[in-house]
Amino acid sequence: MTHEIASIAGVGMVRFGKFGAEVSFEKLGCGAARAALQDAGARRKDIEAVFVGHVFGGPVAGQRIAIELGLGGLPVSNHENYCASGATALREAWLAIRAGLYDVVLVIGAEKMTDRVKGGVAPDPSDLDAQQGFVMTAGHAMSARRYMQDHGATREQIAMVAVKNHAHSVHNPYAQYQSAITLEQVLSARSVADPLGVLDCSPISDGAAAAVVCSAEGLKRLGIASPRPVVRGIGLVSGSLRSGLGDVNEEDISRRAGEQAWALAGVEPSDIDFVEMHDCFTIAEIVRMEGLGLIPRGQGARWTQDGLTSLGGKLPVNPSGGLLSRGHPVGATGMAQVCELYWQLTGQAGQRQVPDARLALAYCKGGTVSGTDGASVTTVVMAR
Amino acid sequence: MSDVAEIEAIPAIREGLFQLSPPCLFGSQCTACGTRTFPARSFCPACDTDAAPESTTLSPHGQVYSYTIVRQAPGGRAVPYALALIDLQDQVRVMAQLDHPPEDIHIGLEVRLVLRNIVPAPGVPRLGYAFAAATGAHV
Repeated sequence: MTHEIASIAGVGMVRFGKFGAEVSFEKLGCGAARAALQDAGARRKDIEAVFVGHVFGGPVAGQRIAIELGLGGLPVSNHENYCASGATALREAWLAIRAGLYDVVLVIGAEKMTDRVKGGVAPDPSDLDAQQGFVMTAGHAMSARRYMQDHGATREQIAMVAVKNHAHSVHNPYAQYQSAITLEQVLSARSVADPLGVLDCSPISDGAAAAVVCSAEGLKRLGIASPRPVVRGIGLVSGSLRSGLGDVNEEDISRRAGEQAWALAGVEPSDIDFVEMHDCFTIAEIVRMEGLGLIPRGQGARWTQDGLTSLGGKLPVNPSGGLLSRGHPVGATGMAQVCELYWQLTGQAGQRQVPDARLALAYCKGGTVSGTDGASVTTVVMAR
Repeated sequence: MSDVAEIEAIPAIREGLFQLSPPCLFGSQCTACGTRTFPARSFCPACDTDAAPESTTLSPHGQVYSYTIVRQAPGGRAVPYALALIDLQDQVRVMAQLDHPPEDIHIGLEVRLVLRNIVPAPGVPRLGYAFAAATGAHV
């Protein structure tokens, strides 16, 4: 059986940030979608289906966006995998294109958080860990403390992830934060969950990002003659129950998601030119890169300090600024990563451009379930 | 045992998680590979046996594997509080709050199970489990 090839015909974002009541969830989603349609040169009648990722948008949030776009009547589906929701929506679109079902579809990740989430995000209240007072920050704080103990990493090295990602987003006009921060600022910031302070945490944000995804026939229909970045493969795994007393930073879920992506895409991980990594917290960038096998176990903190994951380094991580600095409207993040991959792979990333970027990975990890190593991980591999 | 009488009156966060006297958690143990879990499961997460695990009580003694002091949380929960991953003596890891001065908590701290109200804000109390530093008599 042959599969259709899915390409990204165009992308669009609204700048992430904190917006008032006048900027609704629907307005955010429509803003990103219109930008993507314009970038792809697609008209409303070209779109055959709409896939929407969100967490806090409420029932049929995707249909509320689609109707405002003038796309009523189409197949619209809503996709929730917590912080991996946007990428999960893209995966469903990719599957539909590959299956030959559609030629031109619209994928949107959108979230309005600032009017409905206070103090951070947590698992579902029924979760056993949530009943003990578990919040996402606490899990990453315990991960960080153990990482320092096991690998001799320093608090400063972990904080350097935030310094690096803020430095990157100085050059990203869509980032919530576009100014550099110092190591001292990260270290002296208000404590949220020891040893992590507020600058080790991604912000609560509003925003949206979108892409038009096409088959080869779809590109033709839009009049696009030149090649566009191709979705080579999208991995999706869920966490598994962990028994015994293993390493909390083993990130077996990341290993499995990576191996699935490399196999689907037919690529070697060593060929990846840069990564958009789900740095919801500083330490998360380090342990997830290690779980994927892209950085040797226990060396992620050192790599950060040595600049190997900075722009210009051996393997740039989060040229966009990542979740820490671009912002983290949870359902929109996966599609914002896809926008960054598109801009980088088409040489449109300006002063944050990774030179000659040809192959890239976007990784999202969403949610927790008590007893597991996570809820959902997506791995999007795109090539020029 | 007035303490037991007092906490017996509080509804548990979930049925089947623990017993009051002596205080301990209920888990399950695989009849094929011996793996223990908390809470009890109807299958073994470690091996592919179809045999149902047996229910078992778990050791109330363990050590701190990692911990944090939570200083900001979503509404309805008073901060700060210490949250820890506890490695029980019989190879089961449990997440729970830790009743101990934050400055004295460290990885490897010996702890024991305690049962108490774990709803930290005004409202309906719920009986759950937490840990406290082990005293000599308990180790």
